[in-house]
Amino acid sequence: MSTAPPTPPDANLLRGHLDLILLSIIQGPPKYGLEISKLAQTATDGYFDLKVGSLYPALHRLEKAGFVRSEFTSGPRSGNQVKAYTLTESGGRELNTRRAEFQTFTQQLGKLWTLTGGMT
Amino acid sequence: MNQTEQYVRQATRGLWGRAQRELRTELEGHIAERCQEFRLSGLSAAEAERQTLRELGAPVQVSRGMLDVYTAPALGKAGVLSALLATAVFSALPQGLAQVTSIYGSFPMTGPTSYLDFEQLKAAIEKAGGQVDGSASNAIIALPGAVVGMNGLSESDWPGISVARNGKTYYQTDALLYSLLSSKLDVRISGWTNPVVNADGAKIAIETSDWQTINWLYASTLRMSFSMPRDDLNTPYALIEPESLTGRLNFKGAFQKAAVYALVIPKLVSWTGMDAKGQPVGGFLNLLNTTAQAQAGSVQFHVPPDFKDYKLYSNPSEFQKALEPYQQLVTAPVAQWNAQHPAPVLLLKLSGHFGPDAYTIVSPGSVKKQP
Repeated sequence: MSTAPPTPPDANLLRGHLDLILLSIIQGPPKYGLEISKLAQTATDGYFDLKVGSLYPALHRLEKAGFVRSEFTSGPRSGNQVKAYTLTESGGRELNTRRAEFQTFTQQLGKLWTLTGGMT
Repeated sequence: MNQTEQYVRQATRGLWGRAQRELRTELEGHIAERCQEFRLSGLSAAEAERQTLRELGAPVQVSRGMLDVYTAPALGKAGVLSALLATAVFSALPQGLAQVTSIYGSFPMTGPTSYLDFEQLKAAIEKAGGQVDGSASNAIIALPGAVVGMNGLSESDWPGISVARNGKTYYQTDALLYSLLSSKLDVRISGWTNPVVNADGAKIAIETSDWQTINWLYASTLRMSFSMPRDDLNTPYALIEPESLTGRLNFKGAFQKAAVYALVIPKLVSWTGMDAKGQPVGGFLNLLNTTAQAQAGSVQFHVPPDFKDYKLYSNPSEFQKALEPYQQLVTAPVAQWNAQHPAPVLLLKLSGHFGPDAYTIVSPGSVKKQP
C-alpha cells in the first residue's frame, strides 16, 4: 500500500532549516550534490525537494564556514568529476548543537498544543 | 555551445578564478551523473540532457545564491573604491546640495540591487526641508508636499530594506523611490554622473559615477509602473547581476546630447514568483533595461555578452505580440535568440519622470547600428 507524499514545507521554513537538513544528510561517508538532493527526497518520501539553486550555494556557504570539507572524485556513473562533501569536526559539533536546539524548540512548542483550557 | 555549457556558464556568471572553475566542474559532474541515470532508464542523450536541465531550474538562481556566498564580504572593497571615486568627483558637485553615496551589488534577500548611504540620505532629505524618522530598517521619510500619514516601510514588509557594510548602514534605493511615489510626490531623475532625484522641488543628489547605480535609477522610471497607466512593458523585469553586461551596442542617429536612452531587451529565463494575491506565477520571459546617456548623434549601451540577434520595434503592441510565444517555456519556439528568431527590442528615450511620460519610442528607421 502506498501513501500520498506529504505536502512540501513552506519555502521559508525550508530555507530556515536548510543548514540543519544538509548537515544531517552529509554526516557519514562523503556525498556529492546530486546524491545529497536525492537522499533528502528519498529519506523523507519527497517532503524535502532541494533545488540546485539553493543546494549548491548552501553547500559552499557551509564549506566557507568550515562545517564541511570537499574533495573532487570520480562520479559512479559518468566518470566525470563530482565534488563530495564530508562533515568536519566543527561541522559535527554544529550539527549536534542545532539538533539539540531544534528538539528543545519542538518539545516546548508541543507543550503549547496540549493546552486545553485557561489558567486556573 | 550546447545547452549544458550554456547552463553552466550562466550559473557561474559573476564568479571568478577558482570559485568559478570549481563550481563549473561541480555542476558539470552533477549534470553528467543525472544524464547517465536518465540514459539508463531509456532516454536518448538529448532527452536526458533536456530532462536534467529542466530539473535543475533557472541557472540564475544558482549564480545569485553563489554571488551571495562569494561576493558579499568583497563588497567591503567595492565600498572603499566607490568612496574613493566619490571623493574624486566631489568638487564637480553643485555647492549646497547634500550628497549621498551608493553601492550596487548582489545581496541576500534582494539579489542585485542598489543601496544609498542612510545617514547621508537623511542629511540630504533634511537639507531639502524634509524629515526622516526612525532607523534604516523602519524609516519614515517625509518631504515637503508629501501626503501626510504615510507609514514607514519596515524590514517585515520590505525584506532587505537596509544592509550594513563597513560600519555604515545603507537604504534600498527602490524603497526611497517607493516612499516618494506613494507620498504622491512628482519625482524626476536628472543628470547622469551624480544624478539628482527631484521630488516636487526637493533635490537629493546621488553621488556616483557607477553605471549600474545610475542605470538602476533610470530603469526604475520604467519598473515602478504603479502610477503608470501604460502597460506596454508589463512583463517582469530581470535583475542585472553586477558587472554582467559586458557587451556593447552602438547606435548612430538622431540622438540628443546628454539625453538618456534605454534598450528594453527580453531575456529568456525561467522565473517563478507570487502575484499580489500570493498565488504562484511563472514564465520564461524577463525584460532587461539597459540605459545610457547619449552623445550628439550616437549612444552606446551595455548589453549581455554576445547579444547580436535582435530586431527593433516601433510599436509597443507589435513588440508585445512578438514576445507572446516566449512568455512560457513550452510555447517558446527557441530557448535562446538566434538570427532566425531575433530578440524583439524597444529603443526608448527616457524623460527621467515617473509617470505615463516616462518614455517615448525611438523609431527604428531613425537610427543605425554601428559596429
